[in-house]
Amino acid sequence: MKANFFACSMILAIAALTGCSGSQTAVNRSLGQAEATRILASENTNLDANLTSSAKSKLDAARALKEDGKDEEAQAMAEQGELELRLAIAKSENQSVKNEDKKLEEALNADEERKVLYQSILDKETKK
Amino acid sequence: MKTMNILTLSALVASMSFAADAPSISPVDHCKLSLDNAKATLPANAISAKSTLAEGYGALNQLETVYADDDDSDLIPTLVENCSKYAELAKLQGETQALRNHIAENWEKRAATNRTIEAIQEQIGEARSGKVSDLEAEKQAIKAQKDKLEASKNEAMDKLNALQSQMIQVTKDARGIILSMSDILFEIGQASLKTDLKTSLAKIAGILSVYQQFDVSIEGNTDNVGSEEFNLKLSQQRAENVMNFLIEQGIAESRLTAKGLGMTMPIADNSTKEGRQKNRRVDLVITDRTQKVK
Repeated sequence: MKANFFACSMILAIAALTGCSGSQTAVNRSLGQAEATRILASENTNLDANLTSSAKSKLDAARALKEDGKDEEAQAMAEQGELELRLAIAKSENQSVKNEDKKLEEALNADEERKVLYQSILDKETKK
Repeated sequence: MKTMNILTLSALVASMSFAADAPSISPVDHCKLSLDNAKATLPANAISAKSTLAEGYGALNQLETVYADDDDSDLIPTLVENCSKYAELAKLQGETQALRNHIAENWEKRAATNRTIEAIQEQIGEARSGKVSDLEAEKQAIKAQKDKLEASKNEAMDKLNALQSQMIQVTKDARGIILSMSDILFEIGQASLKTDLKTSLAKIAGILSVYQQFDVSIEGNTDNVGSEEFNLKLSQQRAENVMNFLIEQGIAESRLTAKGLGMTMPIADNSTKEGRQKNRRVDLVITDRTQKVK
């Protein structure tokens, strides 16, 4: 009976330890991922300052939650901080692509005007 | 905590356009709706957006689990917000991909437009070189025509030169070829033509009928012996007789003119017998009509 109780206690303890360890690993992974994204974001100087500032606060909060042992909350907060950094990067990229699109549209219009001009020259040359 | 959840949900619901249905939407439904809406706008090739969306649906699963376990969990507001951010991020990435697709289309359009421009430029080049060829051909034709006329004129000149004799002098000046016929060829003091003159004029008519570009101005001249009126009348009559003879030989009247100049255009001294002899003459001034036009 004692042996059975001991075995059950051990299993529960291992399960609890494993659960705790898994939860902490997930938090650490989220924070690590967020940190990697922050480093990536720091290479871009044109990011939305509100978003990067908010992301920093969220990552600090995530670390604080982790310290308090609130792993699930810490993980969700770290994820949110990372999402805000990704949003900042995506917005900057979107603006850059918009600028490229605009320039190309202008170049295309200029090409079209050139085509019309050359066509009019050809029409004049072949009118006789 | 429950109050905080309700406030967060209320704020999310208020942001949706269909506010009337808001109370019935759970955080899970709201999250799913946001992700589904974002999904609907994605271009087919928006890989990163689709990947973000997959993460978003992962967050939705987590939310469903947490919500099912405890609909009052502190975690729910953060998970709902994360879900919204996944949707926002996916939508933004989708928009960026759509722009990239548009850029790719425009590059293709530019390439096509530039190919068209090159083709038009080639056509312009061909049209211009064709014109140059036409112009060159026209120049060559003009030159050939000019050479032909010149050759014809030289030929005529050679034939007229062959008429050169004691009684017919052939010269050339700015007006054209001048055949000066001595008055020996006319009856003395009369306008009628002697046989020798008729023979020479028939030859001239033969040449003129071949070389149609020549017109002839027949000018009668006298010395200063006798009255001016007589000389003028005599010179006019002689010129007209020559013209009429040429007409009889088949030369078109339109190519001929006749005028009497009397003693007004001497070519030698009237005080000597030889000079007076030279001044008594009929000049046939032969001009090239084609050169007059030019």
